[in-house]
Amino acid sequence: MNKIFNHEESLSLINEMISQARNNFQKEKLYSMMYWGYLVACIAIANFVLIQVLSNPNYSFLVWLIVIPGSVVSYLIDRKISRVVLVKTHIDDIGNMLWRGFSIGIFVFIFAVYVLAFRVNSFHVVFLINPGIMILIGVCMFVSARIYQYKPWYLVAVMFWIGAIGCTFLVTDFQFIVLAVCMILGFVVPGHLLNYQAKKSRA
Amino acid sequence: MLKELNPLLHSQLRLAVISILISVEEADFVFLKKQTGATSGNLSVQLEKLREAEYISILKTFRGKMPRTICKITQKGILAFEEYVQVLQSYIAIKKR
Repeated sequence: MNKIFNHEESLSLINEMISQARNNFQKEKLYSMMYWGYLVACIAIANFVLIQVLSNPNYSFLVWLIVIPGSVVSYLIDRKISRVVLVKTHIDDIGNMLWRGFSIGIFVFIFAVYVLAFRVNSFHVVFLINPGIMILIGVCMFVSARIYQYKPWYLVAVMFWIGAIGCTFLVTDFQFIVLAVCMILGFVVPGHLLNYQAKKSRA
Repeated sequence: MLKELNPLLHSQLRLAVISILISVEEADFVFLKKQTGATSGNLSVQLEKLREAEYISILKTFRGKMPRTICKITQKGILAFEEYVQVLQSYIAIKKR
């Protein structure tokens, strides 16, 4: 593949290579997505169960501290993935920044809700956390569907937004069940499906 | 008077490599080999020519014990590619007239 060629061939080669390369987003990132889907769903279910069994249900929320070591594990998974990926596209970069921004946004949002709860002296405000998180996930999924050209994520975004509205009607511990179901259907199922498709196309 | 096409880019393999690198942030040697279908030897030679012209930067590193070569297009490479496409389009436009 080193011959001199005509102008039309040259232009079609450029188009072919660019379109091939652009479609090569890091499919290995799906592992990270599935990991977060399983982790958050398990913590949400654990939180629901703990509310039922603990004498002081307020302690049940401490289960979310698992997210801290969970983030360390996620970082280690990402580091391992970055060693095996053969190409890094601009799309990957945008996707990474989007989800990094989401993570920061979540911490700021939870902090703001707790500050507000203390200021107005009402812990009912914390019922906004689950719908708030689900709205943010919906936004990230909506943008991801566009940048990765994966249309089912539009449906996932809509599902998270409907889930968020549903949570406002369930101002109870059942919000955690809604969150767990959305995480399984929105993160774990598409992750496994995309993985299966990627393996099938490689075979 | 039409400009001449950059001879360094007007070669199938080098143009394929530059076209890939312009659309990604960085790419491994193995990826470039797979996408272009070139042999390792030929690809190495062409990458070296692009590196000498400062169109790409090459980072040699290790993945565990395995050597790894990561290629990235430079600003000079981007400008050369853009100019190449412009000249190419003007040639094709004249042909169509």
